[in-house]
Amino acid sequence: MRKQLIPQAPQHCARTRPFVLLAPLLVTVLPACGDPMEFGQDLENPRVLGVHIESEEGHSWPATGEAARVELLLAGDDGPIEARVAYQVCFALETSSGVPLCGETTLADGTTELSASPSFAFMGEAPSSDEPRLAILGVGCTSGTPKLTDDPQLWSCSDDSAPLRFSFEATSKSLDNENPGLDETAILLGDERIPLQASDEPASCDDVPEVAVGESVTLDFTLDEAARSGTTDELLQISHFAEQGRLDRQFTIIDPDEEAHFELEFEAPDVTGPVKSYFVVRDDRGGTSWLSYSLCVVD
Amino acid sequence: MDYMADGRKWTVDPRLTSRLSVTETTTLKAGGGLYSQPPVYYQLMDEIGNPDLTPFRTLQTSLGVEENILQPLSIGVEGFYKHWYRRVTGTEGGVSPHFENAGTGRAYGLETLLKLQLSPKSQLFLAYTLARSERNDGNGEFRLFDADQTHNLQFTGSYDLGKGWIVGARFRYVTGNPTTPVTGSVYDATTDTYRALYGATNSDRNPAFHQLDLRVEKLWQLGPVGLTTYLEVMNVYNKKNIEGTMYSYDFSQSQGAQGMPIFPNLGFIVEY
Repeated sequence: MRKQLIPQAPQHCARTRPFVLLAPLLVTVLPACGDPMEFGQDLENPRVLGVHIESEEGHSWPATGEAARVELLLAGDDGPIEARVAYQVCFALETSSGVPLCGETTLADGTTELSASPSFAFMGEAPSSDEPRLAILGVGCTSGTPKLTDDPQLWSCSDDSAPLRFSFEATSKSLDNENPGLDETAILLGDERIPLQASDEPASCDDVPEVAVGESVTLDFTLDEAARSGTTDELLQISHFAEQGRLDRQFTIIDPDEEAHFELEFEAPDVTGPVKSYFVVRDDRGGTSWLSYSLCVVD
Repeated sequence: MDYMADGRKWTVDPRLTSRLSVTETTTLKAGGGLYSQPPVYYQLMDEIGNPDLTPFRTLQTSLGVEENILQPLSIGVEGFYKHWYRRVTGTEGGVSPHFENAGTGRAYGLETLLKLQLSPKSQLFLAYTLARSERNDGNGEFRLFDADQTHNLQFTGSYDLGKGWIVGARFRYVTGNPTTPVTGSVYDATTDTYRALYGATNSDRNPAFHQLDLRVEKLWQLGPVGLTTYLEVMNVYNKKNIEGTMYSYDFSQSQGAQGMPIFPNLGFIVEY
């Protein structure tokens, strides 16, 4: 650019060494920004929020010959949603990117009935040497019939409603791992304890703390010690979701040697009524558990 | 002749260029040759790559003419064709052996360059390239290359006003780069993130890029020291060029990522 716009310097200067004394100065104009996009913690549409696998022995993946049950957490902006789910449990091909691809061995497949907590079962099986990864693939439909094929692009619902596509991968480290225990988790709003709820319970203003319309409050979480399966070497990832209002973030990460205690800001919506929120805890070893809680928004 | 240490392969790349003055004002030029490039190091690694990969090759050819029609005006036109073979491509889904020398490619086009110097104080350049660059990833179908630019127009000019004052301008117009549309996503319940599902590779494009830059500078000669002060304004008409795409957490929403807005820049250069 500079060479193109400026003629050669006079001869006595051409032999000298140019240098920039003061490089660009001045004014920047901020790029125009479009409308903000949706935040991950806002439940504006029906979504899959988690997949939980529990073997007969209480592990997060079944050993060979052991049965396991798979449960899905589905939610939208008005509480739990009902969906049919088509699923496949398989040993996955060794891939380096993208959605897992099933190999030749399928452990289970089928379609669940319309349910707010779709679940299905399968039996553990030892992988062959070239199929070390385990995967659950699925698609849920709030209406219509789900269709699951070899090509994720074609996972769809028969009535063209938005498909809820999901995948889950497990490795051998899930075999001796237990899902996070959350029953003794404490969530405080000030000094008031917020009751925990099962995820499929409807939101309610009965016996829950109140917050004013538009008010920002701080929620104080102390996770159950069992969130770490009795050891302290698990990294915990907590995902936060709210039907309405705004949580200040989607993720909280707690390092292995860190106390499982954190705070979360919540801004109440502009409408009154109960607001249901969810938290999903993953232990980085294939274990996943979740619970929900409600707050009552008042004038 | 080159030796690729990582893959332990030799390559031989003969090349030839020539220029022929047909008349006092007309010159023909032609060139051709082979070029080799080793795979990127990780593509050769055992666990995530394929150690048996070979360097990929390019055959490049060009034929052109330069014509000084009148003394202040010269025009150059050059056609080119490039062919890639043994291009390294990823296997579908990244399945082992992860990478193969299965790809080919081709690029062809026409470059023109016009220079006009009406006086010793002025310079004008106009360059335009019409091109198409495609790649075949081993599936028999050609797709657009990531940086394919159908039209690339560049204009630059400067004028010496005297007494150390110089003004200049540059204008660029470039076809937007190809992009691969996101057609949906799959929720990854292992990590609570979404994986994008993509449509046909490079089947979409960013909008065309265009930008005008202006510059004025003043040179003070202070004995052996030259002090130049310049003010340039880039993207004078504040074109909101889209240079990428940002997606929401689940890829259901997208926004264009805008490039540099209007940008005034004041600077000093000392030469001694």
